[in-house]
Amino acid sequence: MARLEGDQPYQLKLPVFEGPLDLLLHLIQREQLNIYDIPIALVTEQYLAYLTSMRELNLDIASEFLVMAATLLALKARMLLPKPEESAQSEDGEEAADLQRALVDSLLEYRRFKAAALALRELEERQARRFWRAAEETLPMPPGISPEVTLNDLVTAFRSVAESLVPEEPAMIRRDEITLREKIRQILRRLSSSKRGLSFRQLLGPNPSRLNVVISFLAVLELIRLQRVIVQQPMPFGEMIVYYRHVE
Amino acid sequence: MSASRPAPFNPKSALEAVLLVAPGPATLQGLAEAIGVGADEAGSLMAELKDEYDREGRGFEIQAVAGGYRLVTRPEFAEAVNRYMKAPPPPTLSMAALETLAVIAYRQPVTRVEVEAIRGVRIDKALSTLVERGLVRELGRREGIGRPILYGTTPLFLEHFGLSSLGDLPALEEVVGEERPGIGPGGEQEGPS
Repeated sequence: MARLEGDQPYQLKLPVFEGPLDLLLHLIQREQLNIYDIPIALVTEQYLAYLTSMRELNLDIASEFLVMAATLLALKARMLLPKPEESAQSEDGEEAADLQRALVDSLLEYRRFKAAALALRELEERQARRFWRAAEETLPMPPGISPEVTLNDLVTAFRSVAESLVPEEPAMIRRDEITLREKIRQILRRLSSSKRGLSFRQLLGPNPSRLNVVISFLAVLELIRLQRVIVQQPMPFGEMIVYYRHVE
Repeated sequence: MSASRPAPFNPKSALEAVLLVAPGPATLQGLAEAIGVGADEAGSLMAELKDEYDREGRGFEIQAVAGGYRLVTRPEFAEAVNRYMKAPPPPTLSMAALETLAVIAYRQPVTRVEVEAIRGVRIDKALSTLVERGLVRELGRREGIGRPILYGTTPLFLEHFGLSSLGDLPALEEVVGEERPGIGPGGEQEGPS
């Protein structure tokens, strides 16, 4: 049976772990446990103690830590169940064994890569102590460019190319066709001269642009909010009819 | 021997000259073409030159890195160089980034989800750091559901860690053994399976 080292109280000096596997590995190594035969109850207890300390220090606990806690608790619970009779290997027993094997596999796999990461860190530290000439900004002239070309030649060449260029038509950037404010005024004007109201389609006019549709819709919404118009829709998905609302 | 006679063309010195100005790791092939010898010949000249530097205790050495060779200062003179350059030490990678990088380096091409399965945590942040620093890049996509992005290391990764090629990575089992030197020659206890 493994037991806590020297029965020390759990100390609130929290090392940082990269994840639940890192934490588990740390607990296993600290207690010198056999990774292939982890005393689940002990490890679970210590794992949860660590999470509790994290919470007491108001540290954010990444969800992965909680998932691992749940896995450990599930394992522990299954192990506490009475041993199945020899003849009928219960599914629970097998499941627990599978779960533990999977956990051990992930721990071993993680441990290999953690060791690899530490090895990379050593390589990085060593390489950081080496220096070399950086690639220079001014590279020697690449092959194919004649060194006889002078600055003057380049300027002349540029000028002749520039002069032969046909000036491009300046691109037109169209202003917004209409602003919301204008559209509201326009709609009010048209509605006030129409007794029977106008359909939204009529308000848009023929071939409205997408922008016009959007602005008109916004204008109608705004007018509804201001209680200047009333909108009716006789049928679902049918035409919206906009009426001017006369105010005294 | 007369000092006034021009020295005969020495291909080893020529190799040294090209190494000095090469902007990145110089390949044997490129060096061989530049000095007009075969690649094998360039390889043995390189080895001789490297030996000479080591024997004479020069301030620089030849490092085989990222598929080529480069003149680099020796690590023991880092302090002197840093003092002269007045340069802050280059930023090193966090443990999270290193772990992520380790999985990608050994398992490439590999998807984000596969790396996360091994590390047991999400790696979005570490992964984007590695991509930003040019140590990891997208290699394409895996055929299949979702066509996840495959990641792998870059030549800069090799340069950052001073590796000649991916084959230079420390063997995975090996590093596990080195990790726990205190356990003794018995090493890993094998549990009942």
